[in-house]
Amino acid sequence: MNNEISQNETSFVSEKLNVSATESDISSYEKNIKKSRIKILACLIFMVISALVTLYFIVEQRTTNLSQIEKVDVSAYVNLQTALAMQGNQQAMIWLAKSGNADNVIFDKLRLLIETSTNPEIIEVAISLDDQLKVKDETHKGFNEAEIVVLKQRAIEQGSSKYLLEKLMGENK
Amino acid sequence: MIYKSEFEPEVPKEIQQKHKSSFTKMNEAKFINKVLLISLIPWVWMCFLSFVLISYLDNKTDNFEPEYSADILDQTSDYIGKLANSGNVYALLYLAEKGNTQQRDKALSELKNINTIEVNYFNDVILDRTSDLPINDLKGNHQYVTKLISYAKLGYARAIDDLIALETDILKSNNISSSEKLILKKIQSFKNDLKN
Repeated sequence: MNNEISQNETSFVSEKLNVSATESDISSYEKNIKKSRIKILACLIFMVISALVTLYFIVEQRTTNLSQIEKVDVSAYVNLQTALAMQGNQQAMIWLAKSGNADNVIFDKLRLLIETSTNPEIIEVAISLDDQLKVKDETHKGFNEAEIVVLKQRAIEQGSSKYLLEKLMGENK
Repeated sequence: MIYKSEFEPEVPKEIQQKHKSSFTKMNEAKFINKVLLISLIPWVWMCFLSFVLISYLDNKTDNFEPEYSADILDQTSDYIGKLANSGNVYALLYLAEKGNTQQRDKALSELKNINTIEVNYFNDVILDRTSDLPINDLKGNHQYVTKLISYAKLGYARAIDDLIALETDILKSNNISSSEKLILKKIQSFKNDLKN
């Protein structure tokens, strides 16, 4: 059929078309248009399917990663650390604050501990917990800006590399 | 392709017009078809690359650690070094883990004489884990998990984080070995004890 068309196309210049030749041309053109449309549709469907497959794999991978983390049941550790924190265990308070399982009670305990402890991590987790609680609870009365600056400086003096790096980065900007 | 057709005089104008429009439409369809066929392979590549890129970025975001310039790290080491000289335990721990060889050796020898939970954990667990000497695979190391559990019982935050990381790591692997299964069992029994 393609040969027929190309023959017709090349004969355009030399030969004049009569009614039947014109109609046969039109019908072969339309057949070609139909074929091309089917091919275009197939290409588009293939493109959409490949994009959806990619998307599926991305979502699948992210879900797998999340479910692997969720597979680990940490409730036993939360119970242990909550009980220890109530007895004044510093490390338990640090873990609860870091893992997002601390509340205002733990914050108040950490705030008191800051005065006596020489562990810079206490200040680090107290400031981080303060940020979390400010977002969760509007009534939470945490540190003000001036207090945070003083606390960070104190943590640096106690050996907090985190705030020291933060300070040096700020100075070098 | 340029349209050049001549018709006999008896061919009506309508049919001539239809002939021209069909010819043009056919060429357009063929052109679109070619463009789509040519772009199919790059499209599939782009899909594959975007998957690889997103996986890489996800991985990088999960393990994100800010990068500091050598100058800032030197200043930090100097400051922490001064604190360590005055006997600050947290400064010594930092140098023992992240200091240069000289600072590390000095900090390690001083840490041997200090008895706090942070220092004991560092000497018992972290030093083994970061040692240059080859050690057994942590996922199947019973001694390692026993040490973690003993510190976790005391509520030591880093030990619990390391236990969770170890359990996650084992659960992530597709083929869990018999030794790893025993480790999982050990962790599970520790957690059951905590619940009771």
